[in-house]
Amino acid sequence: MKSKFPYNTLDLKPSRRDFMRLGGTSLAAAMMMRAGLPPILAQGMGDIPAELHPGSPNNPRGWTTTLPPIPEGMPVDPPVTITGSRRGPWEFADGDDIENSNFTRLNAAVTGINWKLAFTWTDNEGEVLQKYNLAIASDELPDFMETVPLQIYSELLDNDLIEDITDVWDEVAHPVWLKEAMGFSDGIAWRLAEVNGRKMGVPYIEQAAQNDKVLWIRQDWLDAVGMSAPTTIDELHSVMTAFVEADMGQGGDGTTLGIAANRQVNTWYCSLDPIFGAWGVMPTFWTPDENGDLQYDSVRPEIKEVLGTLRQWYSEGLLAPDFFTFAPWQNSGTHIGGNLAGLMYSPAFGAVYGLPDSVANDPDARWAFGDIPTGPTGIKKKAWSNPVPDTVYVFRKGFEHVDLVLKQMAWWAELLQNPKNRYHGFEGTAYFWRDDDGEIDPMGSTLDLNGYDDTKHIWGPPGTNGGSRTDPFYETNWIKERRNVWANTPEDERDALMEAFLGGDPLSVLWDEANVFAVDHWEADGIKNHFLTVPTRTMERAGASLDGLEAETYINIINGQEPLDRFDAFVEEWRSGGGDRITDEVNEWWHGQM
Amino acid sequence: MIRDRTWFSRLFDSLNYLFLAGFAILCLLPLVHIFAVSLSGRAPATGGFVSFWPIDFTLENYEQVMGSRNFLRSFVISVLRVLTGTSLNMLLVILTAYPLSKTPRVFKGRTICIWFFVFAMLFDGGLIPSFLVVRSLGLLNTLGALILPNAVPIFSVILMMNFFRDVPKELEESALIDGASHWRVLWHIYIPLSLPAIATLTLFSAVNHWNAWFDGLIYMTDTANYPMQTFLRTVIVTLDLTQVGINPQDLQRLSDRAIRGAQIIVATVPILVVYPFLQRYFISGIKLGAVKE
Repeated sequence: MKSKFPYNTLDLKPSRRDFMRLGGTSLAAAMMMRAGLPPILAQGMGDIPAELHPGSPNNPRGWTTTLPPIPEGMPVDPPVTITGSRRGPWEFADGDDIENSNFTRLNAAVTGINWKLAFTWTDNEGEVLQKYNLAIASDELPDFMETVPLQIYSELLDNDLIEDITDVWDEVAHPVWLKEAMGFSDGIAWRLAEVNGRKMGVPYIEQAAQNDKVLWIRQDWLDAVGMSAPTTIDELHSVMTAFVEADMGQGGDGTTLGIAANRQVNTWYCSLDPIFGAWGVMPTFWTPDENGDLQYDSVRPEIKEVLGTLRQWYSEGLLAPDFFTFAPWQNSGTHIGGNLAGLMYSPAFGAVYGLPDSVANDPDARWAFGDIPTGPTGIKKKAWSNPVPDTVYVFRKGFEHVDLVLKQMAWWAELLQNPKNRYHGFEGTAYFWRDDDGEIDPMGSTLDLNGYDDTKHIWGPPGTNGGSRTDPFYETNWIKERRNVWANTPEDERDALMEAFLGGDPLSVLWDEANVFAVDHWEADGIKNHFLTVPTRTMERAGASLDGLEAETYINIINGQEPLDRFDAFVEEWRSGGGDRITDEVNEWWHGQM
Repeated sequence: MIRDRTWFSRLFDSLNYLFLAGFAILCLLPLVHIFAVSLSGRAPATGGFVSFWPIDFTLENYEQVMGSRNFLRSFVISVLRVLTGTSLNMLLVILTAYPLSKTPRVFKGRTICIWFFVFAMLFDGGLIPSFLVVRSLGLLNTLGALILPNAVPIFSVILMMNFFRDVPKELEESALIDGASHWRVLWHIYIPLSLPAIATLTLFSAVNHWNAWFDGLIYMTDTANYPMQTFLRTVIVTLDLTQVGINPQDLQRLSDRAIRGAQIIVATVPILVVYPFLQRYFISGIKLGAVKE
């Protein structure tokens, strides 16, 4: 019925299709007729033509994206062109590119800024360094530099090539969407961007608890062996043993694994960090000791106990015999997608990474997540994932329009990060409407969310490849809005976007739940790495070989190639091979900044 | 040739063939595996269930690869690069090698020229100076940046030069006596006699152009202009998420072994197809009996 009638009663509410009419030539007249609109909505409309709008107000089942008020003094006239470097690659709608997309068109109308591409790179090893070094050597730094790696950042700082934005920031940075949003966790956002009290760039911020682990577990396997979710490491051991003994896996006989692991014990996927955390230590992290000095956890005596436990597990066949040949991202295919393991410590996004393959290969697979089990003395800790990775956004020394870029950031941050604005990208890129035959049709009744991620097109933050933002709780706020507000909307009042998310597939629902759970446990259960600055001099010189020695020793102890006591010799080697000096340097920084 | 027909040597021969055939199959198996993966569904391929026969047979991976604008664009760039780059390479190799193959009596400055080329072969300008030259010539993001910097492959010039030198002098002399110019000698005597060498060097050059990725990385500031092998590196990437995050959508794409398999096959097959066409030129002994001594 609804689909037959393009103009049904639902559309009489002043927030949907009207936007289309508001655009174009009849704008002024329509504005007058619509004088009753809430002021912020009217202001947000401004002179922005309807075809530049995100959202689908003109579809009968569509929704309206509210644009934030246009920043003061914008759009600037005449428009300015700013060059920037970008981390690629992307996909685009027909005829679009990184300099001309839904983002750039709307952005030019709102801010008057036109973005011009200086260079791009992709995520291959060293490519980003290569491209930035060429730009430095040829003396052609772009005005705005995205996702600058630490090494380049130090180089730029040493050569005084970066604009100090402290004063501009204090003056024009938005009090809510930039200043307040970046004030989380005692100002950790500024750990790199601020140098000697001066702001030299804009922080790169990721989702809070993005890589914080939960215990993912095959509920159907648990039911089959008649056990419940483990709450202690001992129970975890029993469950693993039961899975392996019952050979629950989908592979050949005897290939079931207790838990999925890889060659890095503290990593982003299929990690073992919560096991070390159960003994209160965290390999590769620097933590304060009882004297207030920083200590390197990888060489603490407790590590030996954990390695002993893992060694025991390996000898019992609970870890893959070749686990040390796997990189984290390879676990998702063979071990999880191939249904060899029914347990893993992975982040919330594990729900949509690995698990979809698992369910596709075994339709009976039912996954659940739970809190991480506690250790023998009741400790429950995991690696605290720092939402500020080793990278920053910086401006070229002498660049005049820092204020404009900061205003642009705040406008987009508010648009994307305030769930009340209901931003879900642009029709034709982020999502499509389809008619009953499945053909793309702007007036169709089916919402297809399988577009591509057009927030990557945004010259951010927010946006960019990797999804940086100004507020680490951005996604969590969205999930809460969906679960608390959308879910309470009567069903006959829901639009297609609400329905698509509320009726999402079970794994996406799990992702949302795990995300909220991980964020709730973020500060309480996390062991933080307290060393937060650029590598020290000895780290640069000896760090790589010491890290190699550490990784090799851990693996050789776990897989039984070397005796457990090898750990003591490793600690000695680490200390004499530069570790002691690194500890001194780290503490010099640590006490200096307190 | 007289063949030894003892049973032992026959046994040895057959074992030898068996052994070599085994090795040949070993070399083929990875390709067969990737081919099977590329024809399988996403889940079984990524889960590691596919060995040498596709599971959940589908052509969807190829449809996706062929339908991906990014991939197709890089494919076209690579094809153009091979066609123009190889032609230019061979033209310059032949034109350079011919005079250099003459004796210093015929070509006075030959020794200096040879040293000039050998020097350029042994030492290059280094990454950043080369980049600056290419940039100031306005070649960044153009096909020229991929073709011109190595337009004269000096190693090939030296091979070609030595091949030309082996062409019996009497043939050239007889042509010159009949009033032929150097162009005519090159075109009608040297080139027809050097087809095996030319075919080999063409193959080298084509394969080099097809497989090159580093210059694409350096000289294309926009990833949209990457040739295929440079583009493929972005697909078959070693992820390190401890540095910066990645969008979950991309994460899924990167662990999709079926799509990657299809991309590898599409990228490999065109250059494999070139071999049989060039093979007929790999005939030796063409000069045998040209001159009686």
